[in-house]
Amino acid sequence: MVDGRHIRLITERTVEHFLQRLFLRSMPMRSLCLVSPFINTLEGSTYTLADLSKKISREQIPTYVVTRSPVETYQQEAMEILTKNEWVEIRYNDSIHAKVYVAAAIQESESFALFGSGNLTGRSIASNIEVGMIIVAQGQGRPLVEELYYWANNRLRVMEESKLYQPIRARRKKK
Amino acid sequence: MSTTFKDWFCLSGRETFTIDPKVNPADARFYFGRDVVRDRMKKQINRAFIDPQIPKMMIYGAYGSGKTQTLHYLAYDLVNSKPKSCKEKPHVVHLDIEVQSKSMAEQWHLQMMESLGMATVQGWLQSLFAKSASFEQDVDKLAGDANLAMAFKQLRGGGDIAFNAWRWLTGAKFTPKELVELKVTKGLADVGVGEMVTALQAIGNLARAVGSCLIFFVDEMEELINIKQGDAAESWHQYTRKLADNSNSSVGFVIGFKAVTVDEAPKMLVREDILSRISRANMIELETLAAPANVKTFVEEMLDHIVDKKAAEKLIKAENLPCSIKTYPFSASAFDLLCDYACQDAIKSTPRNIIRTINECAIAAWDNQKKVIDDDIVNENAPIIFA
Repeated sequence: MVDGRHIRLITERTVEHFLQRLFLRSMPMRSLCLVSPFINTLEGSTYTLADLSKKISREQIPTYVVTRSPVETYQQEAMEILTKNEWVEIRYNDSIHAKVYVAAAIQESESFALFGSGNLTGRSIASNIEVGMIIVAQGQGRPLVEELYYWANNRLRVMEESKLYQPIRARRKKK
Repeated sequence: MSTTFKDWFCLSGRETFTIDPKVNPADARFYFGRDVVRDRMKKQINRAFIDPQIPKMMIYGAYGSGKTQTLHYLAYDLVNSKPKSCKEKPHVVHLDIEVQSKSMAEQWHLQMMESLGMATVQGWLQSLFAKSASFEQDVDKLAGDANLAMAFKQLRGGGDIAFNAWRWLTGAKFTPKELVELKVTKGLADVGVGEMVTALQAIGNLARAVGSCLIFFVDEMEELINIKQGDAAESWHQYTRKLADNSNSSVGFVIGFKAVTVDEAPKMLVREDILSRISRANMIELETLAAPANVKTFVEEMLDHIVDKKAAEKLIKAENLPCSIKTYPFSASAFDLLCDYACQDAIKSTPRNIIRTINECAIAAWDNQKKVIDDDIVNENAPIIFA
């Protein structure tokens, strides 16, 4: 049984729904997981990758990105933005096909996730036909968000194919 | 890389260092570094089965202090190491409460019933039917109310009428026609929350009659802070008070909520009339670990349980790794450093943060193809979490 309040099917601008919730709710974040085979700068979208990167830096959100090795120019441009951000860990996994986005909030019930077909690209938001489920960590959505977080943040990162390209370099305190 | 993360760190029956009973139900068996509070909770639960015959407890602490793990551990322990004072087989039900600003206690009742499940109650009724020479009279006695008894009898029968009986027990609104069909005179929620607690107690009595003991483990009750309306807050208070009352000896509860002190708790849960009923000895505060000795014990016990010691000892010897089995996969100095970081800020010295740091350090070591977590790795990762 699907709980419509906490698990919603999204058929338009799926990834933008995730970003919009992330930007508008502005809840204190524990970490962010972005799993997308292809990533671009999202230029022309409401929320660009540069906007996201600024938010990550400003709020010091440990962010874990798993994507495919950049081959195309648009991918390299996106990675240039992300590699400049010391709060972002980047792993390349050329087997990745999953698209999973998890915002883990300090207040667990404010966490949410999106999974579906949409890449973190402008085209996915603006023109592709995509489908996704957005899940809020309340009620029946809670265990789903927790399992997606566990999978993205723990299992996927230590898979043999997930090669570390850039660790988080930020230091809030130096011992 | 020719091995998996699990094998790299000799993990015993698990893929990562993360401990989360919601993701890995088997993790419920773990309770590290808190012997005093663990023993106190177990003692209170043991006593509770003598008087008031069922546990009634509230557990609170800061974010990450281990409330969820505590609830799952206590439930696991009840089922697997039943206290001598508990005569029946514990039937534990977990529920993460979901609350909106206008939620009334009817919502709580509904969620408890959904978590318990229609099939469970039907199973208890069937068991009673199978063993009882006078089923109808027995049901009348344990229900203590004609409508409740009728709902139980209809629920045992199966089919649409059984489903409607279940809906009635959950507090669903009924039309006059549906009430007639079910042969009851009023809806459960028509009068107030008291009738719903009575229904829940009757289900507890039914469980007892067939050798089970019903105990709810309700997490996330800090969500009650979202309730702003007076009527709604009062309904939650009334429901909690009735459950806490001595007249309830058949439905146990262990409630968890986030609060650094009792003053931060949702008011309807901790009014004096409730505290006096459940007794302050059953209000359990989970403090952060804070002191270096506590953190060390926590980490040592954790590593002791999740690392395959034989495999680790073999690896340390074979590769002459710069660590002992006691701190593996940390070097001795990295282990001390981790504990040091974890103690810098008492508020952040929580099991969740410590487990997360251990996992992040291990991932960093794996990335660097290091078999031992050294000072550099701890210095790189611990500040991200403990700052």
